[in-house]
Amino acid sequence: MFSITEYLTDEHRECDELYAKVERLVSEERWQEAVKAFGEFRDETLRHFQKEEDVLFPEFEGRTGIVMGPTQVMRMEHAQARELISRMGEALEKKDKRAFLSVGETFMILIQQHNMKEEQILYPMCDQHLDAPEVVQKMEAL
Amino acid sequence: MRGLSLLQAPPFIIVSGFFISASLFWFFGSLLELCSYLKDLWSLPLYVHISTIGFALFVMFGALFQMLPVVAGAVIKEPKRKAIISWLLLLLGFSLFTTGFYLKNYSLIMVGSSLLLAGVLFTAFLFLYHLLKLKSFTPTSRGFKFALAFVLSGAVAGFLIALSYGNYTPYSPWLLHLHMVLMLFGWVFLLIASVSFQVVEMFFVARPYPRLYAMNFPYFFTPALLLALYDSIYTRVPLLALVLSHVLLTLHRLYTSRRGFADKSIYFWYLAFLNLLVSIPFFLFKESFLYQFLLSFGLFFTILITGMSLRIISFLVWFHLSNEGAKQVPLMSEVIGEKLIKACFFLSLLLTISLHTLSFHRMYLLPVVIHIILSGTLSLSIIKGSLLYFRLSPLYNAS
Repeated sequence: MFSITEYLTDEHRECDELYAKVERLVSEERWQEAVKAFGEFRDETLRHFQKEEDVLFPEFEGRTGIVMGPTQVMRMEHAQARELISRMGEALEKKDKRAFLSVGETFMILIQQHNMKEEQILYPMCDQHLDAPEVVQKMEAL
Repeated sequence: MRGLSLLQAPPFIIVSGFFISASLFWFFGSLLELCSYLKDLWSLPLYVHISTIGFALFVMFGALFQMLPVVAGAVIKEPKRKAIISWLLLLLGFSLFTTGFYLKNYSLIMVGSSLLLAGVLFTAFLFLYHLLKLKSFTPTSRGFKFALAFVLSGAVAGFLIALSYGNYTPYSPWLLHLHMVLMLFGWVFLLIASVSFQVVEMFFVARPYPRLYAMNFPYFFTPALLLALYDSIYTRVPLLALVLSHVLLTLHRLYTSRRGFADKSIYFWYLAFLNLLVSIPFFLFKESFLYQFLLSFGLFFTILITGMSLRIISFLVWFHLSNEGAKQVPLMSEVIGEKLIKACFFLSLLLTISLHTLSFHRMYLLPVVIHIILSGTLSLSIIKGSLLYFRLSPLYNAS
C-alpha cells in the first residue's frame, strides 16, 4: 500500500510529464495536439489539487489543529498555479507560442518549488499524523 | 512545528543582497584581473578567491537562506538580522582580503581573512544548527550538512595558510592542498551535487538519480575526500571516480530530460558539467596541470551559478510580488529577458573556449575581457531584476 508521500509524489511526476509533452508540442507549433495534451495536463493537475484541498488538507487540519499553517500556504500556491494554467490556456487559444512558453516557465518553477515543499515537509507530516491507506482511498474515490 | 517554516520564506532582500554583492564582486574582480594583467602583477590566489569567495560563496550562502525552509523545512528565525551579520562580515572580509592580495599587504590579508573566517563560521554554524535538528528525508538536505561541515574546516585551513604568510605558523604545501580539496570538492562540488539531486529531476523533468546512490552519496564521498587529503595520484582516484559518476549520471539525465531545451538554464548545466568533466584528469595530474584544473573547475561552478542566479532572481521577483498582492506582477521572462540569458550563455561559452585554448599559452587578455563582459551582463541582469521588485512591491511603496 502507498504512503501519502509516494501516492501524491507519483502524481506530481505524472503532471510534470504531461506538462513537458504540452510544452514540446507548443514549441513545435503542433497546435491541435497541444490543445488536447493541455486538456489532459490541466485536468490531471486540477484533480490533484482537488484531492489535496478536499481530502488531505482538511484531514491534516482536523488531526493536528493547524489551520493557518502549511496547508494555507499550499492553497495559496494552488490559486497562483490555477491562474497561470488559465493564462496558458488563453495563450494556447491564440496560438501565441511566446506567451505560452513565458507563462509556462513561471508555472514550472512555481510548481516545482511548491512540490518540493509538499514532498519534503507536508506529505511526511501527513504520513506521520494520518492513516495513510484510508486517506489515499478517499482521494482515489474523488 | 517543522512545517510552519513554509510561511517563513526569507524576505527577497536577503537573497538579492547576497546575489547582487556576488555579481558585483565578480565584475569588479574581473576589472582587478585586467589591472593586474596589464601591470604584470600576476596573483593566482587573487583570481581564485574572486570566483570562489566573491562570487560562489556569496551566492551559495544567499541561496541557502532561501533553500533551507523549502528543501529541508529548517526555519531560521529573524533571518534578516542574521543575514546582515553574515553579509557584513563576508563583505568587509572579502574586500580587505582581495585588496591585501592585490597590494601584497599582509596586514590587510590578515584582517580580511579573520573577518572572512568569522563570516563563514557564523553562517555555516547557523545553517548547521537548524539542519542538524531535523531528520534528512532527501539527499539534498543530507548533502547540505556535509558540505557545510567541509566549508567550516576548509575555512579554518585557509586561515592557517593566511597566518603562515606572516610566519605565525609554518607554511606547508599540504595545508594548501587540504584547503583546496575541502573547499572545491567538499564544499562547492558536494553542495552543487546535493542540489542537482533535487533540481535536475524536478525542474528538467528528468529521470531521478538512483535513490541508493543519491541518499548515500555523502557517505561514499566523505571517505574518498579524506583519502584525497593525503596528496598523491592514487589517493585522488576514488574521489575523482565519484565526481565522474556524478557527471555522467547528470549529463545522461539532462540528455534524456523530457523538457529538452525548453528551460534555457539547461544549457548552463551542460556547459558547467562538461567543464567539470574536463577538470577531472587535470586534478588527477595536478602536479603538471594545476592551472588547467583551477580554470576548468572554476568554469564549472561559475557557469552553473550564473545560469541558476538568473532563474532564481527572476522567479523570486514574481513569487514575492505575487504573494504580496502587487498590482503588477511581471512573469519571469519580463524580469530578466531571454536576450540577457542568451547573452550570458554565449559569453560563458566564449569564456570556456578562450580559456581552454589560450591558457596553455598563458594568453589571458581575451578571457579576462570576456569575463568582464559576462560578469557585467550578469550584474546588470540581477540588479535590474531586483530593482523591478523594489519598484513594484507594496512593501516598499506604501501608497
